[in-house]
Amino acid sequence: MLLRVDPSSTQSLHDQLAGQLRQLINDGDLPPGEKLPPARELAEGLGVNVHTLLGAFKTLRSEGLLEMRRGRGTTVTDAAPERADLVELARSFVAEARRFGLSDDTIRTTIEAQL
Amino acid sequence: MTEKTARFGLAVVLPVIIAAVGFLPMLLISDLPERFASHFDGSGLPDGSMTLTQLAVTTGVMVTIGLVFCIGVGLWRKPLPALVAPTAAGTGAFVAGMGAAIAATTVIGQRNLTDFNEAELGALTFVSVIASAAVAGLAAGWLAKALPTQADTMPEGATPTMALAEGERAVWVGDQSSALLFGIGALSLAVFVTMAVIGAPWLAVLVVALATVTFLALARVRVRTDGSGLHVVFGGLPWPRTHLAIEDIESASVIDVRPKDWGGWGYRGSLKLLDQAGVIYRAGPGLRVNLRNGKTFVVTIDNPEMGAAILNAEVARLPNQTTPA
Repeated sequence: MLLRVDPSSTQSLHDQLAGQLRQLINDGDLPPGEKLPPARELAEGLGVNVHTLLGAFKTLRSEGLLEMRRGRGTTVTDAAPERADLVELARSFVAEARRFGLSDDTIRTTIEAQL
Repeated sequence: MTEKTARFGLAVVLPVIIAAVGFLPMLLISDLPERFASHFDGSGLPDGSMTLTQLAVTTGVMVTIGLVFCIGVGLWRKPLPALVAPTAAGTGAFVAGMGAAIAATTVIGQRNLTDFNEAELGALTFVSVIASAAVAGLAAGWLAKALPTQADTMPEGATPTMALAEGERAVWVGDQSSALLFGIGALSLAVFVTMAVIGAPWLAVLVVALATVTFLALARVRVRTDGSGLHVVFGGLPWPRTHLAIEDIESASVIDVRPKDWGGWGYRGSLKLLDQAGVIYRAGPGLRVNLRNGKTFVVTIDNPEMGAAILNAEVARLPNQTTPA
């Protein structure tokens, strides 16, 4: 797997890493069940703090894309491909809504109205 | 050391030296005893003897067989798989050197004795025989290094690269497993369990346990390329590991690895000793790294294009790079 970061970008390292991980899952480069290399090694290679990378891992875990288990490492969940699409939809929706000038509270209310 | 010099050394110089050391004493020293002590017991006292002729023939056979390999490697026209030349020539020279040293020390050491039973095998003699054999073996191995190997004729592959913005960093990690090593490890585990259950001696069980852990750990190799260079790690073990610093790398390419070029599977060669090394776990795609000092390192791994691209991109943006002649 390939990861890259640009410290001079306006996007935070966390967002860059999380975005790339989602992309890898979306493209099938990280298939369901695949075990990720140790965060320590990836962070060392990228020259970023391991906790920054772990933060991105945890974000994807909260999105249901990654599983982190002690002793088993970080793996891509079986439902990841479908979830990745949904997460991407959610991101676009939020981005679009913000462009319209909606506040976070309004965005939440809009979604809840659908549930 | 040119190839020609190495071949001359292996086929002529070293054999002549070894043969001279072994047999000149027999030819030049006059008045040799009828029998020589040829076998010694645990306390260094003789318990067997030979005539001069028998001594010459037995050590002669050792020297001849050993030199056949040494000379053979020197005269072999076609490139041999990596490691085969130094191993064959080195082992041959070692055996020949030992035969010659035994002949020489026996004749020289016992030339003044009237009765072979007075002979003694001193520690010094023993050590000098081993040392001479080792020197001969190492010399042949070192000479054989200069010979071309099949790994030299590996098909050259594409050298991909990528665009890295200023300050941008990239890392690529690839995993590879060896089914063979996993299989051996599983077998070893079964042996361990059986031995533990039937109550085998604990030392033997411990040895098998360590072997099992080793096989299973070596069965997985992880390759990582980034701004610091290439890292090869085996199953999480802290050793052995390979790290090629980016400053030492000239280029990286994708190649099709043929295990027969390397004389087989596993960790082949040695960067320090043989200038070539490879982690060869299967035939197929692999990452080849050419170092600035002319040495080569190869590792079989799937989809090596990205890994090679990162290395080439990072090499290209190192400051103050002097282009090699």
